[in-house]
Amino acid sequence: MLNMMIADTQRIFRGRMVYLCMGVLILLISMHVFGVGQAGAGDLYMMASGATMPFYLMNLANNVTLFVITIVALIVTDDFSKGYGSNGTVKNVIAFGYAKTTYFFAKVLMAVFFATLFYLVHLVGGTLLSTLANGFGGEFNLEFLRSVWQPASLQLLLIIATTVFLSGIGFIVRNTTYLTYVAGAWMFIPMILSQTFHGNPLVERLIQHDLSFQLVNITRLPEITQGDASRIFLIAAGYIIVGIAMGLTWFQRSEIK
Amino acid sequence: MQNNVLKLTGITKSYGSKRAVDGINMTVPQGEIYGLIGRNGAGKTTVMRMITSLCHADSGEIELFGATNGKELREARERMGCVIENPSLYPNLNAVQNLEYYQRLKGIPNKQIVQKTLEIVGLAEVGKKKFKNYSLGMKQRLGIGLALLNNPDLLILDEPLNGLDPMGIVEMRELIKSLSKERQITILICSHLLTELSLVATRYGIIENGRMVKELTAEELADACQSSLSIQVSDIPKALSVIETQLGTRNYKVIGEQEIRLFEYMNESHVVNQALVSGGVNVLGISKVEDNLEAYFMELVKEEK
Repeated sequence: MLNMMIADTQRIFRGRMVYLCMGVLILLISMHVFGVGQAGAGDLYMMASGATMPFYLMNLANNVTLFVITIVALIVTDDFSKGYGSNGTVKNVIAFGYAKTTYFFAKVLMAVFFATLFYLVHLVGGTLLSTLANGFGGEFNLEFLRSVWQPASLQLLLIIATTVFLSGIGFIVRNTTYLTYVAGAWMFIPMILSQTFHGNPLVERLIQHDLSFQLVNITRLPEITQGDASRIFLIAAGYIIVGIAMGLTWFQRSEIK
Repeated sequence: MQNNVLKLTGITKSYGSKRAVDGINMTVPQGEIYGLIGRNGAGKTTVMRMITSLCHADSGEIELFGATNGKELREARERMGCVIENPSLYPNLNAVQNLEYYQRLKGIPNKQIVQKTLEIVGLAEVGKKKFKNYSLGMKQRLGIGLALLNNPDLLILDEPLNGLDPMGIVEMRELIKSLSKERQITILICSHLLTELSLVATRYGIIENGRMVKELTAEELADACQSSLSIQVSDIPKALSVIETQLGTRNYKVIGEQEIRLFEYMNESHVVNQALVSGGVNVLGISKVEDNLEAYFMELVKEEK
């Protein structure tokens, strides 16, 4: 599996797509850095400093941005349309004697690796850029790192869970375009449900367990308690298990065209 | 005794109510070039896909290098190289990058292997051109290069001559022969170009409607494809009587209602003609027929129907 992941990483970094995605991500961050004052406080001259930028990004990183990170990671590591579909490279790998389970986990881990990379670029890149532009504006110490680490690690866990879940669906739909539609629906349906059935306890309770809702909700909590962290961990674990079970079972049973 | 590299026993595969492969038995001995022949939809590619584990057999057994199940069979597949249907490589990578990808994936330490493989398939000079810009022939070559990368003991090629120009076909034929002769690679190949196949194969398997109609060696095929005189007559019983009494032979075969194939007197058609005419048989035509793999295949398929 390691051989396959190394080969895939080298292949991806040889292509243009990963650099293009990084470039777009940095462009988006730059827009946040230089537009934050306008969006945040209504004061054109107030810009975010390095110390406040991570929290701003985590907050602003609404589920659209985070879903985009996941989708971009899936596209970069794309083997659903080119590999697992017709005329795909997957047949070379399986015919070489690779187990389907190995192939599945290698691809999922690659998507997770790139989703993590993009999330870190998003967070660290934004902080560095705003520090360069507006100064750090605070003390860079262990307390600061801890305050960033807690919500960021949970948010990253949710992104990983989203990536694994969508990877599982990718092995079913076998097409990155369809996968993007599924992700879009998954992102917007809870929002629409939340607006439509506002105040309905059953719907609200259901949405509390939705991963895309949690991606945003996490940064709105005034303080993350042990209970919040456990709930988020359980939700993420649930989605990871379901994504793997679903995708792997389908892949094991399906024939490679 | 010759070892069998591949043995299929009672392999069956259905898609819905259609039985694509129906209890196929097939043996590929070591060192042979095995030509798998059949019409479109006869089940050739399905057989190859089952051997390479791209689809599962409903029943039956696949024995590859002596391994029949699970991990052993998967490990045995590491000794195999294949090109099934179209060669599938990454479109945005060039030949070297594509092969390097699979070299890493297979954990092959020898870095020279990529260049060496490209030389074998005649793509050493292709440079940085991306796979997506290759001609079909170049794609076929690189596909075979990929199949050769791990120095396989068994090479499975599904329609490797597709898209090749006449020159390319000749080169591919020579490549297949040299791989078999110089590197002792056992080759399983299927192609629609029966004449081309007959120039390389040392053993044949003929599939029709998912069933193995016949397995035979090149020598057996040569015997089966013997030359004959095709005699068209209006009265078959009378002609047969003349052939047996006047020409003194029973080495013939009746085909249809007006044709007799005579396997003697090939260079003496005038003698046959004279005997028949003097025996009162109306001869409509007489010609020498050289059977080949194509004719043999057509006849077998006709009989199977």
